[in-house]
Amino acid sequence: MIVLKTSDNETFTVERDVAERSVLIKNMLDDIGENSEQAIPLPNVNSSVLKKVLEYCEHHRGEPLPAADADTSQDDTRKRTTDISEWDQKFITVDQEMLFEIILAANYLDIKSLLDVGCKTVANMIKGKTPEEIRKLFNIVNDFTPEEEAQIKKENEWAEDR
Amino acid sequence: MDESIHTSTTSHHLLYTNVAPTTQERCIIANLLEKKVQQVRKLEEMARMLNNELVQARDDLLEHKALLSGARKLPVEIISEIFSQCLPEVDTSSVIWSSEPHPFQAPLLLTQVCRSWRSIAIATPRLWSTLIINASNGSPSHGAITKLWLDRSRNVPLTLTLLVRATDRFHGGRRVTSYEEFVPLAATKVLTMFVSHLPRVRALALLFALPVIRAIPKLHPVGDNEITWTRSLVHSAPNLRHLYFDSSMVPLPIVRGQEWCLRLRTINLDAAYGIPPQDFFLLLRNSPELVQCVIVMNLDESLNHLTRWDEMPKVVHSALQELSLSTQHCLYVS
Repeated sequence: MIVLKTSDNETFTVERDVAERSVLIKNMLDDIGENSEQAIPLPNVNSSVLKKVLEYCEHHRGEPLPAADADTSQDDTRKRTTDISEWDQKFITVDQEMLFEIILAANYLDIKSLLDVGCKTVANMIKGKTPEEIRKLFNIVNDFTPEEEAQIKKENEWAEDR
Repeated sequence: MDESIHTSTTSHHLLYTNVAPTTQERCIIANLLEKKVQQVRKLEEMARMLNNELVQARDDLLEHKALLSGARKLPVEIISEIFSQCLPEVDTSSVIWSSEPHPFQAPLLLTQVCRSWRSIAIATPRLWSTLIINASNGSPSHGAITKLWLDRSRNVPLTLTLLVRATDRFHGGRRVTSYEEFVPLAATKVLTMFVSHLPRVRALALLFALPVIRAIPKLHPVGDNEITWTRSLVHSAPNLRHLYFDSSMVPLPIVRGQEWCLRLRTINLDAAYGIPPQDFFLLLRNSPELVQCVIVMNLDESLNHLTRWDEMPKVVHSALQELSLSTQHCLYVS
């Protein structure tokens, strides 16, 4: 069993194959050796987020880890899908704050498949919306200068000509 | 608060009874009512001000909460990855891989949200790696969007489609046949831009209607059915993996034992010329990685070379998943 210590000093005891879904933790375990009983500090993840991340790792334990160069080994032309499995979709149905925290944690812990689910979820939230709707959704301020607004308008003028 | 508004003995003993007030009492009550009306107005104004303050405080709270939002903490590479996931899906098994650029679709959509998103989107070349231009209306603006796309794609592999269908439209209030007046210009402009980026083209689809080809000088055949630009085109694209040619523009030399087709995975030559059988076999022999192959063979040429069928070399394609062969009579472009 492996002990993980979060930024808010909570400890989680998990099985090694669950913890090793994280490449960061796997590398740390490889470095400190089999017999260490030291808790692994995760200063960038709090307990509520780690709980969610471990739920994901537990569900996907035993599945093959994606290759580090999975993207480049694909066919030459871009072919991606924003499909998310039913379980993952249910898992990632959280409030926006938690969603971004999960993405950040997946990035820090190096859990590529979870990062992918998070990014796809945000992408699906963006798709089909207008710029104004996106700003409202993510609390983004329209900080374009009038000159930049004019440039954007010009860039999109061709669309009216079709 | 004025205490007299609440403590009127006159009204007090009348309240909650059915006793009619005397004339004197009516005067007192009327006076009291006036004060009460003023008090209600004052309270309403205070409530309005407090409500405004509450709305402002709530907005302020949200704005400050947004400062700590996880969205702001996302590093550029993650935002860039999210942007990539926003792109319309690409289907290389279809001739039309994607849709035309649209302002409300990634990547253009992402450049219109805020300065930070705009700069990340522009600095992410893979967002600009796929472009389909439908120049059928002959609009001069196709050149501008093509340039914008190719510039922003920097040096990433490209998937390019130029689609030109024969169509009419009204221009300047009069009806014109667009492929005679505008389409050649627009299509040639886009095509010229495509050609200058050929070394990094991975997938190329040129889907032209026959009248368009007649109207574009660059597409005219030269000599023995040889369209020189197409020949040089494929020779300049060493990274080409997926190739779709439509209509009559396929010249014979492009399929003849050239190095360019060594790594081709998809080839779709839906050509009115058709391809003679020996060229088809050469193409198969020289493209060992073919996965999908759709070829229209030239029936006339097939008949001419009928005796050579036995001489064709045997080829083995372990990756091939789809092979479609059809024949048609030869059509020559005048």
